[in-house]
Amino acid sequence: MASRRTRYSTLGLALPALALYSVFFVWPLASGLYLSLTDWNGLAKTCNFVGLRNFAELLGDSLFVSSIVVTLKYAAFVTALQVALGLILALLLSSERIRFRPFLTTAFFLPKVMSAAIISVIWTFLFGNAFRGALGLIGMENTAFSWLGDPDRAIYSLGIVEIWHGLGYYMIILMAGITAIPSDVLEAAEIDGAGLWEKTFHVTLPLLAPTIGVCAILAAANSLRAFEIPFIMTAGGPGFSTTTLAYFIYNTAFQSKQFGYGCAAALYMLAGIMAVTLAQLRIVQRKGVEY
Amino acid sequence: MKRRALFGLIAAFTLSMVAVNPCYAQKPVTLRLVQWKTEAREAIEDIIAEFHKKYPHITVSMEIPGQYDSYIQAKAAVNELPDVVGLYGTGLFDYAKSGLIQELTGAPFLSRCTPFSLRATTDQDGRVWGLPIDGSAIGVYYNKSIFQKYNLEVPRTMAELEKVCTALRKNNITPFALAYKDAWTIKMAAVTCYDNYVYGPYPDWTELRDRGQVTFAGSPEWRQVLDALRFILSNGNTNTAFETDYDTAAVMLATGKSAMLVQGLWALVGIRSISPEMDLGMFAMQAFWPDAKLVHFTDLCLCISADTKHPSEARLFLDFLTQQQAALTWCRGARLFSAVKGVKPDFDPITGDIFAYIDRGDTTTVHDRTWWSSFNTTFEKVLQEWMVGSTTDAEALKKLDDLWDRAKASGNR
Repeated sequence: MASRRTRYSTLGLALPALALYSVFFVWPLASGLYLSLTDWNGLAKTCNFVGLRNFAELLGDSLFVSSIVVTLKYAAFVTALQVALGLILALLLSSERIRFRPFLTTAFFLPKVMSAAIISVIWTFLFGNAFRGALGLIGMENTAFSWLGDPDRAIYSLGIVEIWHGLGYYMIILMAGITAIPSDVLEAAEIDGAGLWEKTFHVTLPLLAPTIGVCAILAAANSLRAFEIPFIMTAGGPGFSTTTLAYFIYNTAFQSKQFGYGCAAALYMLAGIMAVTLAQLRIVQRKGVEY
Repeated sequence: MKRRALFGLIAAFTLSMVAVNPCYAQKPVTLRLVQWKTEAREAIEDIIAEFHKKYPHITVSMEIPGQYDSYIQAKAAVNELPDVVGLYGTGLFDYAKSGLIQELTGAPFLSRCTPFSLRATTDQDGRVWGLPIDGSAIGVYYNKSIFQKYNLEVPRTMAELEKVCTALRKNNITPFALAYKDAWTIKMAAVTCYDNYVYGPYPDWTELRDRGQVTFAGSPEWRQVLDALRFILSNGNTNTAFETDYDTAAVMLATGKSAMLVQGLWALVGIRSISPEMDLGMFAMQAFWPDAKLVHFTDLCLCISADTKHPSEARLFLDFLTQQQAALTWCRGARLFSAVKGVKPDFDPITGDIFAYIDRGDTTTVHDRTWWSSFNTTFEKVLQEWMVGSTTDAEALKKLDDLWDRAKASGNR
């Protein structure tokens, strides 16, 4: 009797969270799955069931394929640099030799609390008139290149904005990881004659590996969903050079009025992000270090 | 007895007021109007105030949201389409096919609109789905003062256009202001070309393409369009074209940094806000095609939601908008032409140049209203990709063919 009561009370306590999860995650996912099997245009009150046609057509859609390539380039660039630079900053700001640590920590974290829309507008101005104008002041206007107008460079320019935006967040996570390393392990290394570099590379970094792995997973998952920055700064252009997968989905569903087709692309994106995340998790679990 | 007589008198008076003025008995109604023209906000609010004076029980509440297309689509998806909604082009017929807007065929106020403007809201079966409100034009804005200063004429041949561009560059003036960061502005340049080059000799090119009798890749006319666009690109702010947006290009023209801008009439409001006294003109792109006409088309159309709870009041509002004074007020505010017969707004000296084309019959309309919906949204991106050198002429035209075929398969026109 007591265990049944415990089960009911557990269920009752979990019910609100389950309800929210169902409404905001399960139901949209199920709706998206259903719509991906139809030709709904986002407006009509009825639609036709088309089976897996949308999924098959996407594989032959050059714009879909190119958006995946753009997204992977963007995600690789952003993830690598965000985690690497976040790690460097975390190591530096964890050292007591650095002055004004609280101020610097806050300054690096501040971009993360700003909305992506605002920073996109600011950086559009910087990449456009500001940098060109600054070079003009020193008579070097002719050396200015196009940050957002060059199709080969634009995606990396957007990546710089994303890196700047999210860097502080991963820095904070890594700083927490560094703080969690027991001091006696580091002291033992010092006693054994390890200098700063040895302690960093042979003690701190290996013990920090799981945290670095978590940061890489979060950064990758976030950058694979890139939308606001390409949407505001370049509208996916020039051409399709910054059309990420999320932007392709938005364009297809809302601009081209192919909602079913867009839902199918979104499910491909979900599967892709899950695959990447699972792969990263396996690597992290394999590379974990115990002490 | 006296008290009863007094009450009787008051009751009779009240009833007579109701009989005389039905508005006292009518329930107040609020109509939601949503459209995108921020530049015409004041003019439309004046019209709304006049409408309310005439129909005191009807209040029109106007909203001008950002990201207009997405906003309206989202509202449609949750059955909250406003009572009166602004639509245009192929989007209007998408909403009609989806049963979201009311058919207006036979509405008396439609007879006050010009037949040309009604074509924009009439489907292939002759059913009318919206009230056309205003009309616009797309051509080449040019700074008459700069042209006069350097003894330049409106170019009517390629040689004349090259001479104009050379003279302007020699005097450190950028010939064309290019805003190609906003891909839709590329379409404006393309429209002035293909509506003449392609749809001039082949008015039914869309139908021919659908039947597979012509293709973009196999069409010498479309190659001419690319040649014209290439010329414009190489005679503008080429190095910064893909970082310059629509507003910046308008500033370039308004401040005399450039002398020409290929755009629609809607750009006039922004240009005049910077340079109200500028001597501005507009011409059609005859340098590339001698018989080129000015592109002239219906812009905003107002439609009534199929689910509106106030259909009669919505029709009263549309009827009011076709009255001469309301039509004139709207067009003076929006700085556009009216769809109403006999309304010739004199909102700007530039109208002289444009009416010269209209009165001669030297106008053509936009033909992308017949294109597939999803093709329309990617057309200018393909041109932008071609302009930055990512594709060759042949590759770009082939891509347009592939996109057309895929859009046709989706069935959304």
